[in-house]
Amino acid sequence: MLAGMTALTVTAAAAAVALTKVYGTGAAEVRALDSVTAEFADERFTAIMGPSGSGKSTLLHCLAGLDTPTSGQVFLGGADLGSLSDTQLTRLRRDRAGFIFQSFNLLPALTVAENIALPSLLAGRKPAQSWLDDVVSLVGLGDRLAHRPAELSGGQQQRVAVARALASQPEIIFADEPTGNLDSRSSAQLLGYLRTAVGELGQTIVMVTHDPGAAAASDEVLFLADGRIAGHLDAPSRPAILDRLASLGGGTA
Amino acid sequence: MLALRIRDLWSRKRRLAGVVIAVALGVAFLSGALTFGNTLSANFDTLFATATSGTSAVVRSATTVDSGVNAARPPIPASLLPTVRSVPGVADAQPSVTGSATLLGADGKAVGGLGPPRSGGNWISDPALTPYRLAAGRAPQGLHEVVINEGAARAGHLRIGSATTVLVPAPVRVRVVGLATFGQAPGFGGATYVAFSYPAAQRYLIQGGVNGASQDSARQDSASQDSASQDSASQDSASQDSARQDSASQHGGGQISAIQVRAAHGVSPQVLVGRLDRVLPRGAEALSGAQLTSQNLSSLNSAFLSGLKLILVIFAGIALLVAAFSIASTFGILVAQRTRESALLRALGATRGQVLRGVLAEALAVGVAGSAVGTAAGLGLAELLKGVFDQAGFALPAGGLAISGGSLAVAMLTGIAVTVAVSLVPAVRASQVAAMQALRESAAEPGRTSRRRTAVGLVLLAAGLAVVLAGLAGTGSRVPAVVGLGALAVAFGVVALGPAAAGPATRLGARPLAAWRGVAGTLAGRNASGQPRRTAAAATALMIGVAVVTFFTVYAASLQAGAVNGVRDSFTGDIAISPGGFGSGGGAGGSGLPLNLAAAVSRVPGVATVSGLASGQAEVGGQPAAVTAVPPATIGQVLDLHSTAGSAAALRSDQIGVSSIQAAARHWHIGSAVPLVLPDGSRRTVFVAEIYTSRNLVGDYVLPLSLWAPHTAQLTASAIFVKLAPGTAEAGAQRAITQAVASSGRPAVDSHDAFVASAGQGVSTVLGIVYALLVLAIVIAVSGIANTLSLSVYERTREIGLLRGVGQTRPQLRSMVRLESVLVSAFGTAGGLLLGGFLGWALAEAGARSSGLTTASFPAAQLMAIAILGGAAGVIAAIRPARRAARLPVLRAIAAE
Repeated sequence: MLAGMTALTVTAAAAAVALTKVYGTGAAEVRALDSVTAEFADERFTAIMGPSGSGKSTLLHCLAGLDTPTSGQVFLGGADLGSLSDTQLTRLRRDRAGFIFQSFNLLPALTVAENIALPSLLAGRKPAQSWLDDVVSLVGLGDRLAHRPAELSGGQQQRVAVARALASQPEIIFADEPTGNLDSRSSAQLLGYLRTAVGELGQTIVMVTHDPGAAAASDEVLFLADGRIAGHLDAPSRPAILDRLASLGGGTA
Repeated sequence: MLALRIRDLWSRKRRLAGVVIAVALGVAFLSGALTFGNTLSANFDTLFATATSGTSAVVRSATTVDSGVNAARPPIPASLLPTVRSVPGVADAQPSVTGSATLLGADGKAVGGLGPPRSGGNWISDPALTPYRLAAGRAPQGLHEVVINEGAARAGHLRIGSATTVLVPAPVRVRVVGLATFGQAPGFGGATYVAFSYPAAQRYLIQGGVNGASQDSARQDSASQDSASQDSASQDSASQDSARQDSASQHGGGQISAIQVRAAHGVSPQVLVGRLDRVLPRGAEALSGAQLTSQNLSSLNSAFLSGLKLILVIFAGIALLVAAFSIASTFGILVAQRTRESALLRALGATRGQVLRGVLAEALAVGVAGSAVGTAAGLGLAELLKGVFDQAGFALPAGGLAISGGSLAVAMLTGIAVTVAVSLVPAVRASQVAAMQALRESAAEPGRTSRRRTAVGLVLLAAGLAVVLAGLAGTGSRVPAVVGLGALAVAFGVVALGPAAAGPATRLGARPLAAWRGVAGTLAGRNASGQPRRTAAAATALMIGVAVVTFFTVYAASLQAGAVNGVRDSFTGDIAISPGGFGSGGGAGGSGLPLNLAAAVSRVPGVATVSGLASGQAEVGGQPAAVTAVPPATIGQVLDLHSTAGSAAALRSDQIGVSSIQAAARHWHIGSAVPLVLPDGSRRTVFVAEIYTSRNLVGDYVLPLSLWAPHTAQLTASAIFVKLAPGTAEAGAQRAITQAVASSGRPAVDSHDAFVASAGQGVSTVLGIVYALLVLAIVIAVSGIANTLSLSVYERTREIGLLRGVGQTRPQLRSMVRLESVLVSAFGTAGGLLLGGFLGWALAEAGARSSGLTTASFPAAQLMAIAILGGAAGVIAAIRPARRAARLPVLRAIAAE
């Protein structure tokens, strides 16, 4: 089986194999992930959904190398994360992954332009200016580059985060509730950017969300419940997602 | 409510620890300084009480020209002894002869430290009348036996039976026949004591004679000298010797320093003093042993202890000031970080007063905890201070610490008061938080700099600079006060301008960092410049510490340069013989050189002129003062005093030379009559015949030796200057002179340039102590920066998480924190160097215009070292915060609220 999975990862941007994450011990033990196996194919936009406590955020964190699983394996761009040191993991995140967080997480001290270029700067590389220009014009921030994050609206800040994630041309982008703090108009705009990134730029995106509207923008939805895979949905529509969620019994939030 | 508050405090103990440490360090110095001062006082109390414990009364001359401890007084006739012994109630009365006597150790060098006296006297066998007890051997007899105190024997590697030399100041060959203890102790603190037999003490310490042979040779020397190198000093002293011996024989028993009296059983000292006063002639006085002790203690206090204690308290004040800024900075951040909490309290119905009191209660708790720790730590520091002074060569009396509840309470209360006082501003700010703030994303303390503060800073800076420049435009003794006032305003101005300067300065400093370390440097720069108030607050403590260090460095260098320039200006001879080591020339405890060494030097081939400067104490114009006696015939060839009127070479025996500063201060001019009291108590009126500006080698008053020598028991030279005949090889002459004077305690024989360079050495010793005292202030400042950084790291947990999330490695993160720390400390160090350099320059210039003792000078190497140490302080301060930042788990950091 392992050999098979390794072969699989050649075509998948990321994969989890028998991934288990346990918090606490004894009576307080919580199984956030219980032997989850899943793969995330290249150039696809995958949404992970599930009720609160289903383990969707934990799965994302483990996939991104931010959290270490209790057992099981994570492959990211062909690398087995379990075999990497902290520094190697950090480099992997820096060079091969992009992040979009719910609460924007921009550096207040840096300008918009610097925030966008941050991963490259951390790597000590000068990002390709033409690519940066493309990314900036994609998210429509051309006139805001010299501003500080505090001077932007929430929607604008999240667009900076998208631009930052795209700027380093990562193999995969992880988005953790990216629309959670946005109004519906900004949400729609943001999801549009993400779609464009996948459709036109060939980006791979894994997004955790509890918003069926947001999930409907994806190519495929992976459902989690109680730390296990509870099914998936290709070319999802909003009603189909709501149906499936209702059957999981958890509601949307 | 109290329990709740304590629990709340306890939950934030890690963040409060930094403040507690800052308070503790500041208080520790105060507690240590006070305890050290108490210990010194207590030990000297014991010493002086021991010194006079069995003595009921002392009879001595009523005149003194000295203000020091055990100040030398004119002698009294020994013929008073029978008179005193016949007074009813006197059980015993013994003559006492005292003077200065320098014991040479086995290595031929003088025994003893820099401060304590090197004294000599006659051995008194009645144990009630002397604190010295014979511990081994026997009492001295004849002219060449001595008893020395155990401490001196140990320091000089001397034993019973050792043959050595005592300088009185002429060398006397002696054999050690006994060792004495001072009470139970090995000596009177670090002082050395040499006891001769009564006749020997009288001869050496009062008559100024040494022995027949050397006296004769001295006469022959002066007689055989050619006229060009005539040494009037040895002539004067030799002729005076014979005159005095004549008068001594008339008085039957010669002269003595004092009479120690033991009362018969049942007679109180007061009663005895009363009876003695009735029989004593004019010019002599009686006082009780207790009175003598308290007199000695009060003169010790005014001469040495009060000054030392004051200096220590000043340095404790500096440490506390630095601590106060550090506490204020840390507390400010702590309170700002809880803005939302305070707002929530206000929203839930807490009054402003409640919020204010809450913060103040926290400050109080921190102050109490820190002060308690600091007060206790101060006891250890007091021991350390003793060590510092011992290391520097100031032997202090031994004994345990004198711990006084009063001093500890003062230290404790000061620490608490300072902590609460500096937390007032953040407390008020916390109480002014609007309830609405609770609902917003929290902003830390206001990032913008207050315009009012900047305006006040600019005004203070401008006014201070104007006052300093105006002060420096004038001359006279008021200049330092005016300049000091201006400099103080400048210092306050600079502190007030800190936040306004922090932004631009750190942005500028960040540029090379960004080029060097990439985004870590950029981020460090933005963090530092983005919160200028915080940066300035953290840097201010270091700035003050560095400013003080820089000030002392510049001022000391200026003193050194002033001394060196002054000596170079006035010393025109080729070779200088000096006792060597600072503080050893003249003064109460000083030994100096035998003036008649000049005779031996003049015999060295190639020596053209020898001129010895005698130093001592006299009362000039009603005030005790240090004076220098010079041989007018030769002084002009070795010294140029830069006279504005008259000449030292022309001084007659009823004339005096006065420095221009004293002349101006006392409104004297050429021809002014000045009353003078000489060491033997004789009174003269002398006339100002010279006014000079170069004070470095002669001080404020110059007398001709012919006026000085006849009235001085122990003719002591502070220096002997030599002019070589043209064409003489200097090195060879220097070797020959060194040989010729070696038996007198191996004085330093220096070439012109070496002597000039040595003029500033004493300053270095003092500067070393000053640096040691300032170490704590710098430690406090560094810990303040570390606190600020730690709190910033805590506050930026989310940012750090994000950075780590998007790929910042741990080394990059550590480097970012470190670079920010270096920026903050570089800002503080640069400010401190500028401020301290300016203060040092201003006061050195002021000194040059008032006393002429300083020449503004910037020691590049030392200033560079301070700059490097300041930067290093930043690296050290960053160690812990950087480690903590790097350890933050990425996920927790991202999720943190």
